[in-house]
Amino acid sequence: MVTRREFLGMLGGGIVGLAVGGALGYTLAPKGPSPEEMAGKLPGVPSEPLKIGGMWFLTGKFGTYGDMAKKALQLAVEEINASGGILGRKVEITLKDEADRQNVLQNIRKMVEEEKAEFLIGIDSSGDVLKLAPVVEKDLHVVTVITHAATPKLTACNKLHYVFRISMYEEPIDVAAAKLVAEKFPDVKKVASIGPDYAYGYDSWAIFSSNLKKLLPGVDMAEPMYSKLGTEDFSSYIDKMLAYEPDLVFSSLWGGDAATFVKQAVSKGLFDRVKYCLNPMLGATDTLKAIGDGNVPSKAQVWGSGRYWFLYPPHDVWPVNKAFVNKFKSKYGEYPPYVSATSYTAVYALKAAIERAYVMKGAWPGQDDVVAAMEGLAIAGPMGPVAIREDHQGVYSVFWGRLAKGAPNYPHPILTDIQVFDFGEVFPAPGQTAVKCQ
Amino acid sequence: MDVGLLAAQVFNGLVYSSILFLVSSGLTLIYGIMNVLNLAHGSLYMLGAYLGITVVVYALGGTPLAYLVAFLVVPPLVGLVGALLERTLIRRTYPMGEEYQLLLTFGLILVFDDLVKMVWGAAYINFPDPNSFLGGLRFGVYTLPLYHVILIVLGLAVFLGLWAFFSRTFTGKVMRAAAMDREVVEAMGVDVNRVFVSSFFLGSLLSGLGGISAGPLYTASPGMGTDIIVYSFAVIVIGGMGSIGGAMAGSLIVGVLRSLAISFYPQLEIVIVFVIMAAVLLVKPTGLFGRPEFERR
Repeated sequence: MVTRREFLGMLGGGIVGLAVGGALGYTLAPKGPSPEEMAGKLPGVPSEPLKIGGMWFLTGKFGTYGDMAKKALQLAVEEINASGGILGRKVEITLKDEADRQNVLQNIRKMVEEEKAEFLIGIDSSGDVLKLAPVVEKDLHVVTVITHAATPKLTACNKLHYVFRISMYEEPIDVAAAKLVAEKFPDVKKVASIGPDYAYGYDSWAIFSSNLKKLLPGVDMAEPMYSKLGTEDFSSYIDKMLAYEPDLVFSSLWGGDAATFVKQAVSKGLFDRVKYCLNPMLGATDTLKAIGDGNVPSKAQVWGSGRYWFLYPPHDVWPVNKAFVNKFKSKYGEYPPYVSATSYTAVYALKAAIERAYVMKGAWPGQDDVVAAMEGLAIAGPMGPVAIREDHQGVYSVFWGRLAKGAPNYPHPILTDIQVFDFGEVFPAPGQTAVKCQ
Repeated sequence: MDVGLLAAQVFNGLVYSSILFLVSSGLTLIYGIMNVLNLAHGSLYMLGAYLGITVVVYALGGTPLAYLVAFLVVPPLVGLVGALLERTLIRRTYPMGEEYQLLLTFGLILVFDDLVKMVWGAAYINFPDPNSFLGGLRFGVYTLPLYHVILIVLGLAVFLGLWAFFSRTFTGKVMRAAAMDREVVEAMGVDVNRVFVSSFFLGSLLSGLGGISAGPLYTASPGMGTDIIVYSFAVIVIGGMGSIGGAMAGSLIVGVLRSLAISFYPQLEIVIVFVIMAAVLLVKPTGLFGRPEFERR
């Protein structure tokens, strides 16, 4: 485990400070010159628009992720183009559908080779990202910023050059979960768990349980349970938990499954029998909407985390988040989901890296120059300052919050009583993970 | 073995069996009378859940009365949608053969999924849980929500109702006769087209009833009809295609065994249903109740 101080040492505090300040400047800058005014004014900068290729699930069961990403990209592109584009180049983002399962790699290749995308962003599925990374590294050679897929393997088990991940991945959240239990609920004696029946569910439990065993060695853990994605009826799982009489339930279910589980756990009386329930994926507005204020348990404490929460960092101490939330809310009538925040930050990370590389080089940077500029970059995203580490993983602090009714201020349940874990406490050192690489 | 847990899991299984029976009895009825395997039957289940949400949440604000109204209004509405499908589209495939029916009804699944997305959006929607006002019965660490008890009773009542309808009423007997020999029934002056549209209405109504029954338990999302149609298909193959009694037996076997598997042999949860189906097909290819009510000659 790396301490925060060692960590900042690695990065070089000076660069972080400079870049945070710079990025803050970008996000909060008043309207600058238009791309037309800027075009051709900077030496060595091409005049044609800068093309970025993006891929998310745009249709099908997970199509809401693409919708969230699109909204944020539109916002980022409008802001950037209204204030001079990137070094005067107008930004254009074209999207392809990750739900086109047979053609994920071909479509990525098409964007780069035929449609001349200079950079890539997006990718929801962990499976896709692990297939895509070697293709980008060996073949396509374009800087790619991942915004969602959360497998630790991407950055911990691969030596990446062109591929970066700006979004939080699952491991630090699960490490923080174990710390949360040890610090706030040391009375916990018996833990039951449920997760989705694929790599993520197994990894998440392995990380949480191994960390918790170190912190609270006396805790007894039930055989973990796994349900297939899209399970409608959790009654049998819930009764099996009840038979074990746990005082804490760890659930790594996500999306509709997480909402269905909470609802059925309420009607089956689970939250009258257990004291705590932790879900690392609960801090997603789509899930919270589906849970609804009516299913927020009154007795047990349900805690959730995620990659971004729109009320953290608090708006008064982190104006970047306040500005993002307000713009998003007034444009789309809802609070920004996490995929929106990470996608938005990915565009600004590319902008900051390109500009940094341009200043160093004095000419439009090549892909390797942008890679060099991305390494050690820090950017002010809605989720707080994000530093890009040597392993190409974006690091920022992890939050855990307690589920509470949203009424009367919010249209859906929210997370309150936010507990923060600084990235130095919960991110494994570069190249390390509790998950087996092979 | 933990007897309390065993009992709780049998109860959970019965709740799921009940929903499976509502949907699969409709599927088997339409197949039995008309020899049409409607793949979009699961989409009508989805429609039942979404229309239920519209009535309960948006129109009537989640009161106990709202549930009552929804249970009375939504299934016939879904039945009408089914009858309309039969009149306008499915009827045209009768001269063409079964592969065209499968193609058409598979296409309808996609159409319904997209329609639901257009009207209600792609995100999953929470159907409020009637247990908030119904409450539940406590047994040790377990809770039996009253709504679950109601569903078990409903499944049983529908089973008895269908049995009485097909063995005691004139219309029911005509429907069975039309399944056995269409030409003779027609020669006796019965409008067979009307029999067909009625059976589609009744079968779809049952699927809609399944949807609105399941809605408050689960979370509604486009595509929620896919799982149920796969399980319903397994149910009617196990029970015997075209047999209402078979649908009941198949639902009980699938529902209860799946629930027990989760608790005692979790690795078997998904596979067990299809292992049973394969075993039945090997030993008795016509299903457990190989003599359906709707016998064909």
